[in-house]
Amino acid sequence: MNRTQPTTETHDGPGRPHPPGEEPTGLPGLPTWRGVYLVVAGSFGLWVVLLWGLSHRFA
Amino acid sequence: MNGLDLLILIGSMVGIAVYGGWRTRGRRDLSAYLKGDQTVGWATIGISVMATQASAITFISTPGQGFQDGLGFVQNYFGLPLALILIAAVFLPIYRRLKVYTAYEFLGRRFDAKTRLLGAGLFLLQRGLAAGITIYAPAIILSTMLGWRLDLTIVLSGLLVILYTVIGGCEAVNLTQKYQMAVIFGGMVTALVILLVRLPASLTDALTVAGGFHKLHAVDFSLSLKERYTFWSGLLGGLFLSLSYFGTDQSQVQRYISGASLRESRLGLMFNAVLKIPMQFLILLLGVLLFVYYQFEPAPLFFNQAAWHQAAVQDHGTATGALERQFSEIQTEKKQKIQAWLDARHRGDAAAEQQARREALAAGERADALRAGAKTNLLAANPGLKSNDADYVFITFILKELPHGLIGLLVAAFFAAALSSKAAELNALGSTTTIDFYRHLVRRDATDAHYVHATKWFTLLWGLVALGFALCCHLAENLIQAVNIVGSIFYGVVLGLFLVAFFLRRVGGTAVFWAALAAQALVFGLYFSLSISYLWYNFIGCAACVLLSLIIQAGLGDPDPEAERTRAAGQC
Repeated sequence: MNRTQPTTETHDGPGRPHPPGEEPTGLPGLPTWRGVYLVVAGSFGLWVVLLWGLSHRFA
Repeated sequence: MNGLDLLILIGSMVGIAVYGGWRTRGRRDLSAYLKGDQTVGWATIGISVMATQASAITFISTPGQGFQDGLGFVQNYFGLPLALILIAAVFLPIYRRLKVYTAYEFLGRRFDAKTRLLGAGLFLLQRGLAAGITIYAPAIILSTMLGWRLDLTIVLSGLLVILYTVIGGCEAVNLTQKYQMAVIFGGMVTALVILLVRLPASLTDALTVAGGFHKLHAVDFSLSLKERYTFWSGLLGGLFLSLSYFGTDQSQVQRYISGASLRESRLGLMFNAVLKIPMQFLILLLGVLLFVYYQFEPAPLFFNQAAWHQAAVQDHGTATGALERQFSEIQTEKKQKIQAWLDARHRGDAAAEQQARREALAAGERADALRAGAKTNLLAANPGLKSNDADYVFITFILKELPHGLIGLLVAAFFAAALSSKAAELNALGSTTTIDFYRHLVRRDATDAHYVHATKWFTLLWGLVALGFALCCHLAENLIQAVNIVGSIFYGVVLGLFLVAFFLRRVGGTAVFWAALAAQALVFGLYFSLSISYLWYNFIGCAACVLLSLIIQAGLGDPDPEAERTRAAGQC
């Protein structure tokens, strides 16, 4: 199967195709999915740091 | 439970089920029955994905894990956000583009019919086994609390979920899960607030005591393979477990492919990627705070009071009474030492603080030893007893400390969690049996109405199988671990199938099929011969499947290009 084939869901308007996975997120301040994924990964990192800090604060 | 509790429990559960069944009755279109009406927004998808994963076991057993082992179990979820990112970026666009009903249809299009059936068969096997466990968990609560017969409780709770899942299919599952999650969050937040209000110590003192008893060790960077939960096993094993579960398990795939668009489905997954770890942390913290609560308040020697009372009747209270008195004395001593520890801390006397802490820990070890002895005696007298007492800690707190009305709300929360995950499982089992086996092997060209009818019958059949399994099986030490162990044994290989399908385009169906069978045999062999954390089997099964696929394909030579072109065109 051809994974680079554009999908019907990647259009933002008439004649304006977006690359696959790069269609607008509709989120203020986070126009690309790459940005959304980075924020999500960052929130995970923050949780690990907070949990590690909790472990050490009350060890 | 009194009349008010029963009214809240029965009213909310039956009300949600009837509403869901009524709103979605009469669906004759296969797509609507299996994928909903394709207008679902990201919030509904997010809640539905969360409700499917968070079964009653999550809310009963996880506080018990926190009580017993502390926060370490939260590491089990460290791979989840990364897995959901991968699924949103790679898996989801392909599922939506191919417009599949089940994830295993994709395997058929990419490889061949036998690989599709293998993937679907492994799913049915492991999910069918887990279905019995998830239906058993709420039945324990209700039978313990209401004094009902366990078998009757299993049958009643099972029949309700079968009824509305059969009537309304995917849409009924999504719709009811929203309201069920509202009940669950309402109940759990209420329990946490009441526990915080009733704690005899400040939150800082409570966390000090919990930390002193090693209950706040949330992140362990050790590389030991034998430690059940470490940062690395959680990140790697959890990544593979979550990739398999969310990316290839039809009970989850069916939730997010029902989104109105790719955007809605992706945001629904990201909702879970952000919220799952804090949610599990709070549930575990509830268990840790229960541990602290029972350092200050009288705790039973054995939280499964029904089993304990039965043992007391059998020995006329002689041995059990002596154990209870001994335990009570140790608890009193421990409470005094903890109070001395906190007093010393408040006045800044470090030496006295350390001394009192050591004595409190020593008293704690004596109490644990007494509990272990009592458990051994109970098991000797009653080998069929479900032995993990931690599962009863939260229930005991609810029954003894919460006012009437709120008891009903909490029981309703457990019941809602059980129904929501059970419904998604049955929905997926029925869909997979119909689409991947019945439509593929038995009736290829029937009408939508026929397949909807068939799916209803298969959903009913799987519901009855799950009921039978729940009635007959003896369960492992801890319910949530039992579900994860069953999943880890099968999930790795299924994920291997999908990763080969997505990323190794030169591997064909025959190579991956035999590789998957060999990898599954390897995982079974290792499970029964090694004592490593079960999370690693997700990684081992997946890696074995991928590597063996490459080796076998190298031996077979390049797959037939004509066959590959046919498959790429979407014909299986």
